[in-house]
Amino acid sequence: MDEDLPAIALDPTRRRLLYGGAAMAGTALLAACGSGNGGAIITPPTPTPTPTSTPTPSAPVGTVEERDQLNLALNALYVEGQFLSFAVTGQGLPTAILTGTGASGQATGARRVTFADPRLAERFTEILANTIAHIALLRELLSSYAVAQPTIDLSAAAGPFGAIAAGAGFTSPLDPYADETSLLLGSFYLIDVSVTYFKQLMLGRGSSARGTPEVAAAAVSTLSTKSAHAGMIRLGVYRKGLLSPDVLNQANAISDFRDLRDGADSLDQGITSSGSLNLTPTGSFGGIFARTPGQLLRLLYLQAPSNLTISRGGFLPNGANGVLVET
Amino acid sequence: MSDMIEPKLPDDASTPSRRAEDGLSRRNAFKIAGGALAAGALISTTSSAQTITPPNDLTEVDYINFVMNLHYLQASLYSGAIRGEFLSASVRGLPASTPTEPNLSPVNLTDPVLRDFVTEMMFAELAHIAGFRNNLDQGFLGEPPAVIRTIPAPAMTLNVNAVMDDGYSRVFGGMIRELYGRAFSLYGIEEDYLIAISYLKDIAATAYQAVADLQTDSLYRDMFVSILGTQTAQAAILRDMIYERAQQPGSRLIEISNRLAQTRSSADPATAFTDQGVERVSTAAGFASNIVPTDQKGRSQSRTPLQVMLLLVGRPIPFVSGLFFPQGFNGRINLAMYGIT
Repeated sequence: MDEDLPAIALDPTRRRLLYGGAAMAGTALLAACGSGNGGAIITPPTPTPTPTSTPTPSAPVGTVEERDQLNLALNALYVEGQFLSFAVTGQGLPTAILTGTGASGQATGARRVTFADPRLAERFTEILANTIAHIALLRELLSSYAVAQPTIDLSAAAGPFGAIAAGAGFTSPLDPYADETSLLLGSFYLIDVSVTYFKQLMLGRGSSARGTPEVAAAAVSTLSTKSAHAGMIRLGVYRKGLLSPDVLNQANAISDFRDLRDGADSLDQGITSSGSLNLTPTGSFGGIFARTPGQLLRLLYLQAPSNLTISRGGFLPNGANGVLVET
Repeated sequence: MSDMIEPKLPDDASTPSRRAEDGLSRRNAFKIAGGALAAGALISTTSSAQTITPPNDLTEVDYINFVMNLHYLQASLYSGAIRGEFLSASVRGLPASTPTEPNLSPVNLTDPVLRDFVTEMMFAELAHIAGFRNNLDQGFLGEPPAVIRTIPAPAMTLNVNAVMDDGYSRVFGGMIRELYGRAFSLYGIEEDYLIAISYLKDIAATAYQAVADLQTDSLYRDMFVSILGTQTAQAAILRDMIYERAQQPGSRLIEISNRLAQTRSSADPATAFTDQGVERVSTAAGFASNIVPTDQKGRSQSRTPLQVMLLLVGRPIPFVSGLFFPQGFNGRINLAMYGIT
C-alpha cells in the first residue's frame, strides 16, 4: 500500500476497523477474513478480554416481526458485504459471520478491483469495515434466529450487473470489477437500495412505532451509517462524472432503473437533477426515501417491471433466507 | 453593525435566565480540547447539570422546534454564502417587515463541488423548515389551521464581521491562528467555511439520531428518520471533502478535524463514544479512511439535546457570547430547562 501519507497513530482507546467489539472478540472473524495474501485483517493489539473463546449465544432480541425484518436486512448486507469484500480484498466475508438458518450458499462472481486512486480504496475499505460490523451487529441481535447467507450471484455481464446495465440502457455491459469507476456505479446501485430499507426498519411496527429498543437502536445506527456510505459513494460517482459525463448519465440511468423496477412509487433520484447537484436524494421535507421489504426484494431479485410475485432472481438466485422472501 | 439576526420574538418558555451569579457559581473549569480555545472554556457545565432530568411532558412538537434551531442556523450559513443574504423574514417566521440581512462579507467558494453541494444543502434545510411548518402550523393532527406551533428563528451569530467572541472565533479562531498563523475567515477562506459547516453538520446529524429514536408516533418518527438520513449523508459528504482536501501538501485538515472532534466530545466527557475526526487509519487490509465515525460495532453516535446545546450555545453567562446562539435556543427545549442559565 502506498506510504506517501502517514497514517495517524491510533489511540488504543479508539475503535478499530475490521473487527467487531466485544461481541466478536474471540470469534474466527478476523482469522477467516485474513486468510490469504498478507491480508490478516487486523489483530487487535489488546482485544477486549473475554472469559471464553466461544461466547454464549444470547436469546434473540425483538418481536418475531422485527426479527424477520432484520433478517431481510441481513440478506441485503450479505450481498453488499460480499460485493465490497471481494472488490477490496479479493476474498469473501469470513465464514463465521455467514452461518444461520435456511439454505446456506456461496457468493460467486466477484473479484478484486485495482484502484487507481488509493484514497478511493481507503473509502471502500472503510465502508467494508462498517458493513462487516453491521452484519455482526444484526447477527448478535438475532442470535439463533439469524439467517445464513443465501446463494449470492455477483457476476458482471452474465449476472445481475449485466441485467442492471441492460435495464438501464447502457451501451456496454457493466463490469463493476473492471475499474474503480465501474465499482462506484455498482456500489451506487446496491447501497442506495439498502439505505432506503434501513429507513423502513426505523418506521412503524404495530402499536409502537419505536418497537423494541435494542432493535430500534441498531436500526437508527445502521441507517445513519449506511446513509453516510451512500453519500460518500454518490460523491465519488459525481467526482468521476466531472471527468466523464457518461458516468453521470449512467448513474442517473441506474437510478431510473431502480425507480422503474421497485414498483409504482417514485422513490429514487439521480446524482444530478435537472442539471443541479443532488448528492442526497430527498422527498418530502427534504428527507430520504424508504422502501418496503417487497420493494427491496424487487431490486435484489432484479424483477422485471411487472406485478407478479417472485421469490428469487438477480443477486439472490435461490431467493433470500428467512420469512420475508416474496416481492 | 451587529451580525446577529433579528432577536427572537418574546417566548417566555425559552427565555434563558441571565442571572450572572448563578451561572458563575456553577461554572466549572472544563477540559478543553487541544488548547485551541483561548479566553476560557467553550463549554462550562457541571456534573450535576448533566444529571438533571428534563420534563417528561415534552412532545413531538418540542423536539421539532429543538431541531428547527439547527436548521435555521445551517440554512442561514448556506444562504449567506450562496445567495449573499441570510434568511427572509417569512422563512424565519418573523413579521414581514423584518429585513433580510445581507451577508456583507465576501464569499469565495471556488470549488464547484462544494459550492453546488452547499446550494443543495441550502434547499434541503429550507425544505426541512417549510416541511415542519406546513405540518405543524396548518392543522396537523386534526388541529385547525392558524395554530402556530413552530418557533421563529432564534438570534444567531453568523460571523459577518468576525466578532472576536462568538462561536466561530472560540471554536475555530484560536486553532486556525495556531496552525496556520492567520485569522479564521468564515466566508473569505473556503477551507474555513468547510470546517465550520462540517463541524455544525456533525452536531446536527448526531442530534437527529438521538431525537429520531425517541419518537413513538409513526408519523413524527417518519419525519425525523427521513431527515436523519439526509443529515448523516450530508455530514459524510462534507467529511469526505475534508479528507480529499487533506491530501494537499501542507494541509493541517486531519489535525483540525481531530481537534474539532475532541471539542465536540467535550460536551459529554462521560460518554463511551469519543467523537472522531476525519483521518486515515491502518488496517491489515490496507489503509482505510475514517469518514463515518462509528464505534467497534458499526454504531453511529447520538447526542442528547443538552449535549447539543452545550456545544452550540455554551452557557450564556455575562461576557460570553452564547457561541452560535447568543440568546439560546427558541422553544421549550433549551438550557434553562436543564437548570443551566
